[in-house]
Amino acid sequence: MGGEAPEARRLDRAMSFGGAGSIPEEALHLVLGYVDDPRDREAVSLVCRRWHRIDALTRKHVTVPFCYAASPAHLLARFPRLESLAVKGKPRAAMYGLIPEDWGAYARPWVAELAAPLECLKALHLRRMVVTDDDLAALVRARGHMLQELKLDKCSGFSTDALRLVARSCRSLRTLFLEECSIADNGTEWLHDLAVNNPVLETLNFHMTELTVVPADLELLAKKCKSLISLKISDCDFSDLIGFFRMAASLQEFAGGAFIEQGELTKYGNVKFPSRLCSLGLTYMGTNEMPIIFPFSALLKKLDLQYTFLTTEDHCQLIAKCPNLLVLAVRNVIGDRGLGVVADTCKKLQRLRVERGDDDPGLQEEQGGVSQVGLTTVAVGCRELEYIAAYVSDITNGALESIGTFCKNLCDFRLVLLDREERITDLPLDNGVRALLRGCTKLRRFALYLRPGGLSDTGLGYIGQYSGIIQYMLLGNVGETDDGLIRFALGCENLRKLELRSCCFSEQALARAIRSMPSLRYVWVQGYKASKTGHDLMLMARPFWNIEFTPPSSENANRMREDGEPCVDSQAQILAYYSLAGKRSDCPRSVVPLYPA
Amino acid sequence: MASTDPMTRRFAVACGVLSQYVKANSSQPSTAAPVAQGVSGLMAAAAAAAAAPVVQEPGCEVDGGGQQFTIFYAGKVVVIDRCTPAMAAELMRFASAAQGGGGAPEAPPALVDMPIARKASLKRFLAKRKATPASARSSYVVRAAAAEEEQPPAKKAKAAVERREDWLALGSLGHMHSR
Repeated sequence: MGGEAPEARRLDRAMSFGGAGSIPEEALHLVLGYVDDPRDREAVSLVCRRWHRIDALTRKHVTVPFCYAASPAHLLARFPRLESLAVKGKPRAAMYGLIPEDWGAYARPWVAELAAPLECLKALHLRRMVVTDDDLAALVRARGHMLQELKLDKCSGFSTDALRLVARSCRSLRTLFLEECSIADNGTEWLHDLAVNNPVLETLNFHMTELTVVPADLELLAKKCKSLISLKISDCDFSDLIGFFRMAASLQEFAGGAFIEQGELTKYGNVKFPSRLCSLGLTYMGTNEMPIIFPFSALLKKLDLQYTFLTTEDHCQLIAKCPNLLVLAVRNVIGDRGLGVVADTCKKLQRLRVERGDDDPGLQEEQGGVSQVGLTTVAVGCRELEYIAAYVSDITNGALESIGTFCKNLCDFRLVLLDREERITDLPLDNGVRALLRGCTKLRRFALYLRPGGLSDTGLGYIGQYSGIIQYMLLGNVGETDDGLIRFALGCENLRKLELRSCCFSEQALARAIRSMPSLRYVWVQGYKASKTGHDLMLMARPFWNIEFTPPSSENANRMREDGEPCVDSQAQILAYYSLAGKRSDCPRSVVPLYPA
Repeated sequence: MASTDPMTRRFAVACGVLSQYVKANSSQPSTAAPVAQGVSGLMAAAAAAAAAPVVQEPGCEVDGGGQQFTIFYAGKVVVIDRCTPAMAAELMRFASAAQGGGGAPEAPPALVDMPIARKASLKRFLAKRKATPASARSSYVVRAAAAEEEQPPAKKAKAAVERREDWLALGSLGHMHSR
């Protein structure tokens, strides 16, 4: 835009107004049909009433980033022709057991008032929400005949009865996604019915659920659904999957299963994978089973070793045979040595996740997990990295600087410094963090979870100052005083979503900081200097800004876990967000809505 | 909500701070400057106690006999005119009694004690792995043992027990919440 901005703006206006010289209605409809980016759409809708109306009629997809931020009825009135809807519920902390089960995020209004009445709806994606069998029945009744994609991601509250209904009624279903859902298992018939009724199914995912599988049903699935390209399942012995793999000719992605009887090589020697398979995650795989991957490991693009029994040495041997990996997920048992092999071998790697494994080094971590050494090697060796998430045992400013220097495509960086090691080589990380942020200008998401002393107020100020286009941040154990938080908030121009945990800030400083970040629309905080009533939080009260306060659970305040740590909910939580829906009406007793009161 | 334990505990913390102030103050001549010092010390101590609910400020000295105390606590304001060190001490004895005869005031959980939370899916995997029958894991355990040959078996067994407890503790959170 630059210097020509004023003229461009005048042009937009001229085109948008009705009358002579304006773009014909039909043309605008057609043009907007090619505009998909939600931010572009947002801009279009703000040009004038006419553009707003045409955007509303042509918008095909909406993501509601937080279910209490908008009202389903309002969305239905505005976007009557949506084909795809995504709604997110509970705060991310729910994935870590920090949010009570009865917290809310009920899917009911979203299904009854929006998904079901939307006449063009083909895809529904709900994340971290409570979905009941009744909700799914209502959806199936209204939209079942045309539903192509149903994603229930980390949801709870429903049973296999509802899945059976989906399987029988949704004959156009291409994607059924249930990963990490908590589902009441009332029988395996749903899978059989799905195989019989859904010939167009392409993706089925019930990975990390507790659902029981009948191998014969999977074989039937492979036989009936010729275009099945991705299957991720719960535990099921690989010796029972031989028939399925033989049948599933189109399969490109598989995860789950189980090597129940380890060490018996002969039992799994017959497992032969389909020829197109390029994405793999085999649960409970150990050293003896690993060789069954070798014949096609050079074809693998995606490898998930998070749920395996492999040692550091196993990781090294396997990854050395996978030169084409784009995505790799492991636990920190991989060690710096394993990351060295990644750096030498996986030159195309785009996404790397190093999860936290068993804390006890006895069973797993030969070389003390992952540190600055491994991260630096990977940063230098894998220049295409877009995503790095790592739990590290040690870290230095130099390692962060290397990432800033070499990983120019990085758009998502998450680092957690584990609390096991007493001594960390190089704290605070102020300069390293600054170098990383200055170097990685494409960063949109950033998480940094350290320990007291890990980042000074100056470093926290750097994060704000160099936050660039970052929209989401998670910060834990950073900063020293309120001053650091205030300096941080002076930057953060584009920050939309912020999560803070275990920081030393006062309520007053939090409220002031939150008010001063211009783009912030959602903030979650646990672990700060909380008052009994949260009264200082009222400093951030303003129209459309909902503030919910969860006082420390009184029954757990004095309670310790068996390992001597305090219970996680012994600390107060704050959730604040912009909402057009007004005060939420389904707060559990543990949550106090402070504003609007 | 019915439990008042945390409240009384915090009150006790605040009173502990108060007692330090009173002690410091009574040993000094009662002029304006030491009072101000005492107050700033009190505030710092209160801040250090993390979220101590009491802010106490002496108003102007009322006679020679005592000072005015203002206590903000749990949304209430209590003003005590002409509060002598003896009265403050009594107040603290009362608070200690209310705490159930506990000795030294206990600080509220410090922020540094917040454990790094573990992802639910991995938590389940690690727990399941431990639950896998020994025969199934045998090869793994043997290899791990070889790698860690210097570790005595007794220590290993203890570590295993500790891990199981850790899992139980984390797993029980759900039940606590659903109450």
